[in-house]
Amino acid sequence: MTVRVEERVIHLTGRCLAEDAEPLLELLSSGLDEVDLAGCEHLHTALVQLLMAAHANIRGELSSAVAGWLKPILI
Amino acid sequence: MDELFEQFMIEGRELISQATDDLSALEEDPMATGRIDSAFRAVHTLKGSVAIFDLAPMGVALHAAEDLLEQSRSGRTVMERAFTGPLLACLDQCDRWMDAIEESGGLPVDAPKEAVRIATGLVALTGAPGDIASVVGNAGASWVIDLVERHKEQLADVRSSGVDLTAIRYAPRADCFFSGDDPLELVSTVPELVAVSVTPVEPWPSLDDMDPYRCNLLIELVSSASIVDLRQLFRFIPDQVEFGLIAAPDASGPIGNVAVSREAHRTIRVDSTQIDKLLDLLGELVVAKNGLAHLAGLVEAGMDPNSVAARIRSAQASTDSLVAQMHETVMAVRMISLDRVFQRLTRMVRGLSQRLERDIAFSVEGSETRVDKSVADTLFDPLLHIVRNAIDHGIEDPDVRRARGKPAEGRVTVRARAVGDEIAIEVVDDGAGIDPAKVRQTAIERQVGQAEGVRALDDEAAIQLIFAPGFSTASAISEVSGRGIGMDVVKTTVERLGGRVSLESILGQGTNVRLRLPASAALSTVLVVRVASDRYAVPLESVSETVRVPRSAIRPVGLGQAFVLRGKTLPFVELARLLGHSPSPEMSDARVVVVETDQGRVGVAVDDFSDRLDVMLRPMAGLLANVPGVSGTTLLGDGTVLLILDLAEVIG
Repeated sequence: MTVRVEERVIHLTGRCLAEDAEPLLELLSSGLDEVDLAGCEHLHTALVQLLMAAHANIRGELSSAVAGWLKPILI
Repeated sequence: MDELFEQFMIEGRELISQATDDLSALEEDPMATGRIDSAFRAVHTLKGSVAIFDLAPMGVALHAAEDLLEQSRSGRTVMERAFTGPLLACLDQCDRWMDAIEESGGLPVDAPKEAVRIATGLVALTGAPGDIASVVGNAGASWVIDLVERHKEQLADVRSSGVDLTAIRYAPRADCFFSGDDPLELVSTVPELVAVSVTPVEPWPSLDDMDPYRCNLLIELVSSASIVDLRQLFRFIPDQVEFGLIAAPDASGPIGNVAVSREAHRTIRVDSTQIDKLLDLLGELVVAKNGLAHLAGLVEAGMDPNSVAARIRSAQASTDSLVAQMHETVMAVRMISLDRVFQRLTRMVRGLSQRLERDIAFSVEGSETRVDKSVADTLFDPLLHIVRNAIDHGIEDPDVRRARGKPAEGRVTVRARAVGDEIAIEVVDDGAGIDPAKVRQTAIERQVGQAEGVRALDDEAAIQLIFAPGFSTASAISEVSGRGIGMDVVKTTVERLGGRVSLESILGQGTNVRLRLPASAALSTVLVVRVASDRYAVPLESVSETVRVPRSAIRPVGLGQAFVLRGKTLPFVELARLLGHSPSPEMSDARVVVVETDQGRVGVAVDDFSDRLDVMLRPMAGLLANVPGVSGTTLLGDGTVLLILDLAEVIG
């Protein structure tokens, strides 16, 4: 499971692909706004877009190649 | 200059000229819809190329022009004359900017202001709502500037190291996720990323309204990798990316431009078959060169000198023919059409007739005539001056013209055609013509010639006086014809190119200025003369004959000397004295070169004549360019440099 919730925090782990967008959107719409990226190896653009739109609070370091570039965008 | 940029300079000019042609045709016939399409394509392509470079203002102007053309193309507006004028003005400005880019590497400082002015004018014509700001926002490369501005700090280090950066604007299609694209994944493979910016295209909707599979991102990147590599990376989605060049701040750029005059550096397009031909000739030349080693071997082996000499002669003959062929081919490569000169001319005339508020029907014919690049480069100024004169002094005011039964619109035509090895250019106007009486009076007032002599001239000879130095003076030069050059400069410039100027004018009907110029900078024949121990060359075309005159036949006349040649008395001068050598020892016969000058023929004594040579004339450059009396140099076979004298100037 790449998208799961633990103690009101959304955890994205492994390779998160476009098909994870719908479940993620549902969770974000339900009022959750804490997202932990530790353990996420790849974040599909569709998911990045959702995190940006939801102004989610990001914790944990993404370990993908664009992580450094994404960080300022997601804050 | 990198290759891409050079390509842009060539193609940009071609596109401007294409669009200008189309619009001029539309001016004549607004119904020629094919021309609208063609102009639109040219402007569109040009705008695209402009976006690759740091030329935002040009992009802004072109974008507005494109919009207006697009409207006419889709039939929303008719291509009226009111449109073609501003569109042509926009293209003219772009052409001037190209000149500036070529000279200084960048757009002039006033370019943004000018661009907004042009774009505002064009946008107003489209009648579209929306102000210039939106135009600027959409246009060409303004996003590059924004991007640089936003990431100034990140870019500062890389930029100061003098690296050119590439900006990429990647706007993924909204449905790109469905085709399996992961835009940021692609971004993560971009080499040498310097800055990344990801922004929503439209403001984020509320999460309830959000479609998670609709891409709403605009990704802008800056990379220090080469644009070629980057294009390669984005090659599958060319419709979603735009590239822009962020040129490294250049110390020798437009602002820090040093006061060293740069030789006009121009690229010409060359037919590849000509290059192939040159390569073939080069191959043959190598064979001929290797033959020399063989001949040297024969001499070393003790072969009879006479038979070796015969072989050397034949080797020389074949080399000769090869060199001649190479020369011919290179000259052909240098031949370019007069297109560009005529276009600039048309552009200037448009500006001029606007400023003078004078309707001019200006047309050019024979722009396909081909001339040597050096001739084409030099020809513009004299032609412009003649045309300016025609418009400023020639064409009368509309009222006067109507009263004289002429159409209100003045007609000025520039016609070029090839005549053998020469080109003939005519500038014809249907204006007031030149009044010989006025010319005589002015010439006398300005002491261009002896009053009696001037009065004695017939009408045709009198009007030629406008070419005399000192005829045009500052006070006679209006703002338009200004720039302090007179017709005498036109004449000298043309003569320096080996050409001549003549003038015909019928009072009340118009003037016709004719130029004859050599089409190519061919080999010229010079006569080598000796003075004391020095040798000089004299162009053979200025020498009418060489004679030996007995010293006894040279008589003092007034302060000078003269001699009689076939019943005519010619002034006699000694080249040694003119050049500041000590006078030559008196020989029983003086060797005299008879030279044609503006004041008639003059005998110039030299110590000896020697060979006639075919040489490539090299004009003097730099500090030596203005040394009086010397028109160029050439290299002799033994390596000595020969000065080529302009005897008419030496005699003064």
